[in-house]
This record gives sequence, C-alpha cells and structure tokens, in this order.
Amino acid sequence: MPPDSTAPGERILEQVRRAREQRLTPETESVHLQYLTVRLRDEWYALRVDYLVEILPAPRITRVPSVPEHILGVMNFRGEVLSVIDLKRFFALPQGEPAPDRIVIVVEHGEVRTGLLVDGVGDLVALSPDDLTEEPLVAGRAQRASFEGVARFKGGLVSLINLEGLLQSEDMYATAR
Amino acid sequence: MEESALPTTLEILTFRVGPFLLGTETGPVTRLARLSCGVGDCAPLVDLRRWCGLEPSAEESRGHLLVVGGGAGQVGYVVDQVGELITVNLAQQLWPLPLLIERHKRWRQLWGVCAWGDELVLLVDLVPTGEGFSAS
Repeated sequence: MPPDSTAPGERILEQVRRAREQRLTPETESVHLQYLTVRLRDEWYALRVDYLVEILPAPRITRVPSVPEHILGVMNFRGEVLSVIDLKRFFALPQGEPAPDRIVIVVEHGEVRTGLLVDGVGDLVALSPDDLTEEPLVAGRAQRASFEGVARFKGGLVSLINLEGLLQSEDMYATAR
Repeated sequence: MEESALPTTLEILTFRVGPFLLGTETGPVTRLARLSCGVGDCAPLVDLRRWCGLEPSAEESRGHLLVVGGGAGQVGYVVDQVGELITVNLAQQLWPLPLLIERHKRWRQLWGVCAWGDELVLLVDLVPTGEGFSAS
C-alpha cells in the first residue's frame, strides 16, 4: 500500500510502536521478527523495525565532497546532522529516473543515526526463519555482508537487509568519488 | 583573576565549489579577489574544484580567490563563488561531521557542519599548515 503523501511514516510507525509493545508481553512472543519493506526501483527489500526511528519525505540533502558515491550527503533531522546513504547506489542498482516521492528512513544503530534513501516504503511484515529461502542473493560480493537472506513474501521475494552488516561493511567506504 | 568568556559564536565565510556549499572561519582569510587579478603571483594556489572531485573550471577568469594566511604562510584557494559572511551560534548551529563521514572522508580539512537558514554549510579548515593541502 503506498504511503500517505503528507505523513509517509505515521501509519507504519504507529504499527511499529504497537509491535514493540506486544513484544514486551511474554505470552505474545513468537519467533517472528518485524520488518519494514522498502522499494528500490521495482525490487523489494526489508529492514528490521528495531532500528527504525522515523520515515520522512526526502528532505533537502546537502552534498559532501570527498566521500564515497553512495553517501549522498548530510541532512538536518530535528537539529541533528545525519549522513544519508543512497541504498540504490550502495547495492549498485541502476539509478533510473528519480522517484518523485522518495523517502528517507532514519535508522539508529549503536547510538548513531543515519538516513537511508529509498524509492518507497511498503508495509510491516512479520517473518520467521521458515520464511527464508535458499534463493541466492542477486547482490555481488560487495554487498553480501549487508543481507540476512531472502524471504518469500506475497508470492515474490524480498531481500532482508542486515543493517549492522551494511553500516559496518568495508564496501560502505570503498568507492571514493 | 577574571576569566575571559569563551566565544559563543563563529564568523564563517561561505563559498561555493560546484554543487558544494562550504564555509571557513573568517579570521585567517586575508584577501578576497577575482582569480584574474594576479594574486597567484604572491601565494601558491589550490584549486578546490579538484579537491572536490570536479573538473577544473572551463573559464579561469570566472573563479574567485580566497587567500588564507597562517603560520606556514599564505595560500590562495580557487573557488567558484564567494557567498556571505554569517555568524553561527556554536551551541545551536554547529555540529561535528556525522561519524560515517568523519571516519571515511578523504579530505581531512573537512571538520564540521553548520546550519544557515534551511541549508547546511560544510566547514573546512583552510589555514596553511606547511604539510600541504592533502587527503586523509
């Protein structure tokens, strides 16, 4: 379902809050993990919601010289300056026409917040280890550390992003502009 | 003994190099000039377009020169456009670089970010150190 154009993350963040509350109740605990699906061109990826801070219409992004190409620049997020990563560039996907309503997902890992630029967001989904498939990742060697695997979802496949692996990957810093 | 109050603001001169909005502390800036005025006769020149990974400007005469002095002498920096002089509040408008950029920038002179209206200005230290203007 496409996001509301005025508040792209509000509905999903509310679901995330509910999901987190449910996880605090032992009887509702399950092996399912919550993911947010995000779109890069025509492909779907998924991010663990534990890292999710905010979902925003892409704000003004200030370009920074002398950094790897997939680091798009910096943005002001509630008085905090964050780096913004272009996931399409990092995964070496064709850029194509820029989506008119691109989204920045603010994630937090190890007390560091970072913006991830995506073409769109989908829904929250609960996935269990049983949903993972043996399908090989399409990504090249450079990006393998950035994925947990591939899962079947709604008759298709979704690549599960390993945020920790992505942010700590040597490849994050390998391609200098 | 009375302690002198620490400064709470910083004067920044903004300038543009290609698509990049940059700024530097005004104190060490000794001169601003058009590139064609012959300042290069008295100070070594650094083309910041090159340091920003851009092609050199096709028309040299359209560039501007920002001469910065320090203990190691003077250096002239070629920029595309000199902007405004701004005063930023150190506590509210100035931040270090985000970790991702700080750890992996190739340009060690890049040191911070300040807010100016709804824009962000990348701060660079242009004071000559005698070690050359180099990548990290």
